[in-house]
Amino acid sequence: MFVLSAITAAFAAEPPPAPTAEAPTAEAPAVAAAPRPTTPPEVAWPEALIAAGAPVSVTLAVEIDALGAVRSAKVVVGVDEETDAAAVAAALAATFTPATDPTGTPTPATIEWVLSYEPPPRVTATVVLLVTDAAGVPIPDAAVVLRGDDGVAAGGRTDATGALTVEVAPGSWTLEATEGARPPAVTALSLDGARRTELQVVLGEPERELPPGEDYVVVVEGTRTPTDTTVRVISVEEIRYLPGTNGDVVKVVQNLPGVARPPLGIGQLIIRGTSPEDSAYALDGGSIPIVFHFAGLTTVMAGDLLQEVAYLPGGYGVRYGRQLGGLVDLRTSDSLPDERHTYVSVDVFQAAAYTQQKISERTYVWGSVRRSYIDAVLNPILNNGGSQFQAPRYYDGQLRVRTEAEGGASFDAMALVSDDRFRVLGSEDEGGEVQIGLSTTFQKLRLIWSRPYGPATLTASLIGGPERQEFAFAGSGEAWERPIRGQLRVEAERPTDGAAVGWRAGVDVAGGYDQYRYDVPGFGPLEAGGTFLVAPAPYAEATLPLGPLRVTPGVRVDTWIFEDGALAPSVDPRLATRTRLTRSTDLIVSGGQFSQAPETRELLLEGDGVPDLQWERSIQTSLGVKQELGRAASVELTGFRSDLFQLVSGREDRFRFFTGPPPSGPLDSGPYENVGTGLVVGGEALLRAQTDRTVALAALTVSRSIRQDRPDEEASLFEYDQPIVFNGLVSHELNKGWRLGARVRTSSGNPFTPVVNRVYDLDSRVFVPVYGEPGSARLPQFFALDLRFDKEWTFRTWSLALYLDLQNATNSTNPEVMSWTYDYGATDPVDSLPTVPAFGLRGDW
Amino acid sequence: MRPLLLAGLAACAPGPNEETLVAELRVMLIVPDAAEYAPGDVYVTNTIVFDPSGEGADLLVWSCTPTGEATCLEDEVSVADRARVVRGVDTETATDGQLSAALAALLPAGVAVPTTSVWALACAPGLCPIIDDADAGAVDTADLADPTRFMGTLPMVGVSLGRTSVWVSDRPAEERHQHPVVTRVDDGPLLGTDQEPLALTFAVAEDGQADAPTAYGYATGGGFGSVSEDVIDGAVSLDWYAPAEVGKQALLVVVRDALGGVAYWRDAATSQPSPTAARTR
Repeated sequence: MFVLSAITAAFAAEPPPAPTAEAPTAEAPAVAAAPRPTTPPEVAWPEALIAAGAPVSVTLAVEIDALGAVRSAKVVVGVDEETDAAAVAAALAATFTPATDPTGTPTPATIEWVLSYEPPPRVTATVVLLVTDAAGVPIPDAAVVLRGDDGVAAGGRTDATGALTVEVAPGSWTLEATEGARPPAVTALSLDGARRTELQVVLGEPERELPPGEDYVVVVEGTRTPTDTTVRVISVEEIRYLPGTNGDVVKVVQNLPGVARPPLGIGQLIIRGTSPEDSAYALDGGSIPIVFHFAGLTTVMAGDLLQEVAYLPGGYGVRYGRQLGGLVDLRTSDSLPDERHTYVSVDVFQAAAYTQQKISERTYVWGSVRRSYIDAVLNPILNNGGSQFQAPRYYDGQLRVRTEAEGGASFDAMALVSDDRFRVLGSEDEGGEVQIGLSTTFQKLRLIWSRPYGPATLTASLIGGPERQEFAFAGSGEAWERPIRGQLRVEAERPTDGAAVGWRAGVDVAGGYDQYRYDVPGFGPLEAGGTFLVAPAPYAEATLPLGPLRVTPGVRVDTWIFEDGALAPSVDPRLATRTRLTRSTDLIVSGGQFSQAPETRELLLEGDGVPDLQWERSIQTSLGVKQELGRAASVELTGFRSDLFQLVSGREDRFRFFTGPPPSGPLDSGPYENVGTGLVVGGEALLRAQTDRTVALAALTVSRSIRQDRPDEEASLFEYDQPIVFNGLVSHELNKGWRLGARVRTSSGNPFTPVVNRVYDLDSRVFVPVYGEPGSARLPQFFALDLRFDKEWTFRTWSLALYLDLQNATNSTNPEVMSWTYDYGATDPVDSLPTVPAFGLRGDW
Repeated sequence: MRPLLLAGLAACAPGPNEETLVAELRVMLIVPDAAEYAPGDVYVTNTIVFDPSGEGADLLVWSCTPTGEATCLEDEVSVADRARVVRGVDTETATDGQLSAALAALLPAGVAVPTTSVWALACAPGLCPIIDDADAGAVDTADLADPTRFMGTLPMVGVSLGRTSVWVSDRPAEERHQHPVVTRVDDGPLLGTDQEPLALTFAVAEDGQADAPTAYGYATGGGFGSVSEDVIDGAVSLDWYAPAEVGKQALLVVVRDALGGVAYWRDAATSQPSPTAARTR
């Protein structure tokens, strides 16, 4: 891929070269009017002639009958055999008005006809190309070809400075730049002016192997920011217009295979049949606690800061660990942008501003702020007496500085904050005390230093800061978790290059101070505690190119040390292979062990913790095939299996910060034990197609996820088991800045444990449900159609975009969470949102 | 968020609370004849059942002091001697039982604790085979220890299972906690409309051992305005909203403290057409 950093030029209007014909001359004296060709002759001039660029003429003797048909054509004055033959062929195909005698009667005639090739006038536009890599380093000897619609080509190779000057005529051109194993950069240019143009073409690195398990990478590819090239790319321009995403680049992950639909759109990710708590979120490889604000409305940081969103559903490489589920890694750009950019946007949920500014030749600064105003709109409506409902509100902000040194070294610092809050306050008469409150905040500082050493790169990164999650209930209960977490990573990497072995080695150290307090009536006794912890994890892997086969073995050793004890080191071997079966077909196989530490409260003696608990583990395997379907489409099929064991069971009756609805059904109140097991099997399919105006995505996941909490219990369906999940998206660009999009979502309903009867506890006046078989009932199928309309106006120095995103356009009623009436006499499910129109404005300059 | 919103809106709307309306067969109350017993005591419980269908229910009453291993201390007694079956219960019926003497070894000194559950299963006639089995003395004692075992096999409509605790201590009789006494203060006619609630005012006498009790009411028509009210200075008032339909409605008001003390008042009230409706007619 490439980025055109400055497309400013155009070419002078110049038709493609055409043959010319001098006026024929009649030989017969009886002819009063000479024959004339009815249409210009179409001469297929030889390519060598065109390439030579010199004018030539072929003189023919053409015999024309009384009807104007050409009877014969002979060369009188020729050029060469190939050119003469082309001229003769054109003459024989031509038709004439017949010659006439002095009485006006048509008559045969033989004429001398001169067919000339005139090369196009000298180019009136000069295009100065600079071919570089993503870091801006010039690439010499890169081949650049510009092809016109008529087949005319121009181009050459870049010099030692990566520069090439090409002269072409105005019109539509396709530019293709290639160099060695780098993926070709292809773009269409429509040029309508004639002046000097400076154009930067950025070539990506040689197609890199996706790290094991990194099945999908969303590359944020803006027209203003150079990016590298990666397989499985969805550009930010496409994402911005996909229905249901509100233009959020991370939310598109929710539509990819392997991701089940979270209930009530809570925005968490249920990846390959695992709990949201088992998946992790990272920023440049360092852990962050959440990735979405309340209700999954938007990501906790501006998408324009990101270069890639890596979605790792499972079976990934040794660089990542400490979780059984998937991982979403938000990756900022590892190069400097080429120009300033600012935008301001407002929609029904939030207002946001973003800017990237050049501080010096090699230093850029980014800033972004965002705040929701749902509360400002809803609070006055809802608070007309009694309790004061405080609608959810959130804000986030990021400040980033990146500087690059001459030798390729770089330093990147980013500070980011996120704050979500939702409260119900008592009436003013009652002092406005918090009745129910929930908040999630974090403040993080992320530092990255990187420097190349020959073909290898050494990178050190640190991310850390306080996190806070709090719950308050009517002054009688509170719960909070206030960890201060940090993660240090030092890593050396040498990508595989041709036949050379690639490798990666590093150490990933997580640590900090965890503290918590759970004091909520009805959820067991007070629990409070805290501990310092440190979790170093060295890891290494190599990528061995064996012809069409790439083999990546690796190992990661996780440790977990806390004040009351330590988990025995977990040695997790992993293996991934990628085999190029044909030029367009890859076979990917992966397998390995993954480990996840119990929660801190489960380990500490201060509560009900059991310091002897061990890692929760899974063995993950997958087999996938990716097939390119021409240049515009691809299909990926993946089968996966995850065997889970040593899962921590027990104490389900205690308070937890659920990322989804609280569990229903009988709760396991026994002590914590590593006795749970599980099995997840499934298949995923991703079909993607893209043309100049249309992008389409279809993702299907078929899976089954079961759990057995204790050996003496029956296995049951995982609470978010969704056997079939389908997402289909299409976005089509119309003329005049209009764009339409649609998304269809359908998925199996989540299983739930039915209530088959109830017991009335007369002392507490509470109906206690009698549950049926765990997970033996299922919510109805989910279906939603989302529509999106965009209109963009482009002005000389800025652009304005307006969109309307209509979620659940058919107003389908989708039960999301099963609930019951107070006496469990009837079901009373919580439905998904009705039709929600969201509109917004965004101005870029 | 939705439940919160609904709760907030419901709190603002005057009218009967749906949780106080009993529209189907339900065990409403099990009242032991004392608030506190000694191990081995014989006791009598009054079980109050609301059956809007008027068919009369079959009732099975038994006690169980759970051992923690899906058994009861009372298992040593035969099912025929510990499980009572009453057919055709209209509203209220009394049954007897006996607390296990083995409780004496388990009790903390000088403190009453809710050791034993008294269960009452009310079923529309013919719906619950376990009542017939109990009549024949052929019930699995595991079912009496864990009634959820058989409740899953019974229909929800026409079946109601209630449970209450019996408090036991080693204290002498004169120190034991006593039930409160509830008396309706206003002796006016029990007539109500769906437009104006009928205020029912009660005086509550108690022995002072427990914190102030709460009062709550149920009705087979209409409903009470709040789920419960605190008894303050020995008095409490509850608002009954009559249904729009004219007719007789059963009312039950319960006063309960946190130490097993319970008292009740029940009567029948008449729902009348509202003045507005009468004028319309």
